Amino acid sequence: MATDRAAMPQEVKDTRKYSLGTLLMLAPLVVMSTYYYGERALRMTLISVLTAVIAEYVGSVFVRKKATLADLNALCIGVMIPLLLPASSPLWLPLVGVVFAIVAVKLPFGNARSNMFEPVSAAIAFLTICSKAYMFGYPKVGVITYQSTILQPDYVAGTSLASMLYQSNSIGTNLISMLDLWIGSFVGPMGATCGFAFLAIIISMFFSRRDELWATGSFILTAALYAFLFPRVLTGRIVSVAMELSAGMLVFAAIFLITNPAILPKTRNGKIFFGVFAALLTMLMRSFGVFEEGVCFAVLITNALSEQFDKIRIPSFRRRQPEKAPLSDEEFERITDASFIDVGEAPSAGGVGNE
Amino acid sequence: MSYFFFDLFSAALYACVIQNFIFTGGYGASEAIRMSAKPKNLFPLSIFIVYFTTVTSVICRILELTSFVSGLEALYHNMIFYGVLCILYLVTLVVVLGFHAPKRVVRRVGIAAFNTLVLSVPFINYRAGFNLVGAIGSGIGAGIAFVLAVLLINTGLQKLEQNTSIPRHFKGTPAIFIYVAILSLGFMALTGKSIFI
Amino acid sequence: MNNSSFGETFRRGIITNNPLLFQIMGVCPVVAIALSVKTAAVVAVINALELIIIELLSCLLFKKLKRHFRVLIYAVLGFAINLPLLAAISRHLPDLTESIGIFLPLLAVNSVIAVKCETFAVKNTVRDTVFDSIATAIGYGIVTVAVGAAREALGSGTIFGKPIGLPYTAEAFLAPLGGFLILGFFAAIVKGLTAKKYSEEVNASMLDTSQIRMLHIKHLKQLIDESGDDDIFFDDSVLNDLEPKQSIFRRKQKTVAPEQTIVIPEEIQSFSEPEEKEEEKTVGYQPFADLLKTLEKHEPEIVVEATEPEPDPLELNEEWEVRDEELLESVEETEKASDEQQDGGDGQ
Repeated sequence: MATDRAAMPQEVKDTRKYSLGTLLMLAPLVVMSTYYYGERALRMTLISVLTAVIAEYVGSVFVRKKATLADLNALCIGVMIPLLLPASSPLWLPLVGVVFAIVAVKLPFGNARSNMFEPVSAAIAFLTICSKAYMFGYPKVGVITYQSTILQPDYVAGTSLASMLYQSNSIGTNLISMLDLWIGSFVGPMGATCGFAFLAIIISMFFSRRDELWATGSFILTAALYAFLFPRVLTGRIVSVAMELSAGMLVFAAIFLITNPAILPKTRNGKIFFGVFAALLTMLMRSFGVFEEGVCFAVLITNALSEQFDKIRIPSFRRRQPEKAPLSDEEFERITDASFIDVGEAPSAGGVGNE
Repeated sequence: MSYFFFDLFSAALYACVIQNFIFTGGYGASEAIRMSAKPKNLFPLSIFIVYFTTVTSVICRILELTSFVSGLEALYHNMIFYGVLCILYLVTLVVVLGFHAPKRVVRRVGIAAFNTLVLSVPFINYRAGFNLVGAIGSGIGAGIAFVLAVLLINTGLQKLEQNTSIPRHFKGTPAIFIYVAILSLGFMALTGKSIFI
Repeated sequence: MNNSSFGETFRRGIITNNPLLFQIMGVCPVVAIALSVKTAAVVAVINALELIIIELLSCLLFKKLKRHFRVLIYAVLGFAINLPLLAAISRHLPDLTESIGIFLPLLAVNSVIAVKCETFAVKNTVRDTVFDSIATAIGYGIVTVAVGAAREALGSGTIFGKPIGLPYTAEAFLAPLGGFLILGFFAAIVKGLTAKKYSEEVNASMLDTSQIRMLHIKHLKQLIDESGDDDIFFDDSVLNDLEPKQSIFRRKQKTVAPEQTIVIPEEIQSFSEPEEKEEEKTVGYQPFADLLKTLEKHEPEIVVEATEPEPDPLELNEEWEVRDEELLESVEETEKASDEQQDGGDGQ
């Protein structure tokens, strides 16, 4: 896997830089998952990273395209998927998810810069449909060793916040304290519980990825507003907001899953509408869906509509904008890049079967 | 009156979103994909499809409420559904030709009438046991589901067209199938596994 | 098409023009019901019977009918063939009817039948129609059974009802999602295997997305128009005569205008601040708004001259004369003699 840095195209270098930033942002979540669930969490992460790299290499051979392992996107996928699974899930669960994400969602559409759907959310959705019991069978916090999976006799089940909300059970003020919610010592996905870690990540996004913060912020605020207006528990709206935001994968999705740079809309308003739409769909799926956590499905549908959010125009009463400058050469190249016609797809008018 | 609208709305929502006919059931998938590659022809076709799904659904349900039909075997129900669709198509054709509609509109009537989506609606109503209002709602919902599917797949086809990094052997139909697959994955949150029974 | 051989028709129907994989016809039954080899085989057989019989009949009898009545007849014939088959299946395979009973009647309006009849059967001879319909039915059947087998293996861990011992089964493959996914990968595999020999045919038979492409190009054109850049133009001719990786937008080649010489009358020279005191000012391509405004008032004479030919370096300057012609001739002879000597020396 020797990569000659000097020969790497600029776009791969940019993606590599972005992936390194993402891995840095994921590091505190990996640390917290190891803190709560011990060696098992770390082992699952390492094995799934290895599988991701192998899957990308082998898959690229099958699709007859050169593997761009150098852009480190496979590493990001390999780290993100186990963080969203229960610590007691069998080892093949993240492996199946990783293989699906790379072979079925990423490689058929090109590479990380041409993602049509977010691979991690598609993989989690796939796993949810395949085995709901393993996906939402969480262990009690701290009561897990390397050996115990959900199949073992020493497995102690815990009730996640998401399932409590699904059944309209509240934590009240005595089951879990607010401090526990913030430090993440409650039942949930391995790496998606620690509120302080997420806060630190969002603050770091303010310095390094400010554009994406529009989508993340609008997502979280819309979800909080929905939880405030339509609480699923009876012990007050503040508790409802706290529970909804801490439960499941919501904040993780807001930070990592909807901000895929290949899919996120380009304009600021587009990003805001993207976040709002995804949050509304998520909360509706949580309320009316079959699964206790539906954020990954909502992300997929929002991805399909991502281009439309850029086209929404808010009527403006300001003065008319001045005329646009002529296109620079770089912009011209970017636009015409998209207009290349590969002679392999001759636009024949004689397609069979068209009336 | 409020029950009427509630039943109507809930049945339509069911057919359109919760168990979307095309994405979680697979009905009318090939027609949806082929139509989304030709967006210019969408408007007349979608009107006719909503018309056929709703009217077929209603007439079949009305017939089933009669004691004669409800006592028959399942096989005869099939015959009745087929017969209703054929007669409805003939009547619609006569009306459309009587208005001297342009040729392309007349063509759309044929495509809109005989496809798996339109024929599946009476069968689903029978299985799910909808009442008359529910039948109206599910017919409207199925038609709207088709239009929604075509629009979604159309935006997908546009994105696929702009994507120059698709591997050579996945360009064209393979990429379309995989796109529709993951899109239908997104719709499955509301229904779990696709069970249309 | 009319004179194609048996083998070519079969190859076309099964591989390059496969109705399921490349032309996206009749996807519904495969995606909805082909969950095991058994059900897929039932779908394939019913579809094959309907397709062959209806294509044959439409070729023999319905060529003269109007199109909108033909569509009705296809459906009626489909129903007529379907009902007895349904009755037979419900009698002999009752468990099958329980699981997929609702979908079997939908095979009567399978889009393969209508589209194939309209595009092929009513336009060709009986012999060609029979071969084509058999080939299409076999192609559809092979893919259906393959998809059914794959979905059964991956989704239930069995083949023909017998477990094959997979460590993990992904039940998502029993949903339509799995059907679409497996169809997509099969299409990519077949496209890859036939890439060397039949890639043009496969590309021609795939779904025609040229309308989408045109919309995309129009959108790009709009972007470029809005930017106000006059240098870019849209080359229509490229669409007819494609080269690989050729862009359909180009920048116009910037041509340099010939240099203009502006003769400025003496009265105006005092207005400007000339950097060089010359009678003629050569002005290149750069605009100079103020001077032009002044010049407009006085209407100078603008002369565009071609560039002067360069002087021939061999021509002597007029100031110089040949002073001694004999000396010049003797010098030339000496040079000639020394050259020949050198050549002779080299030859040895």
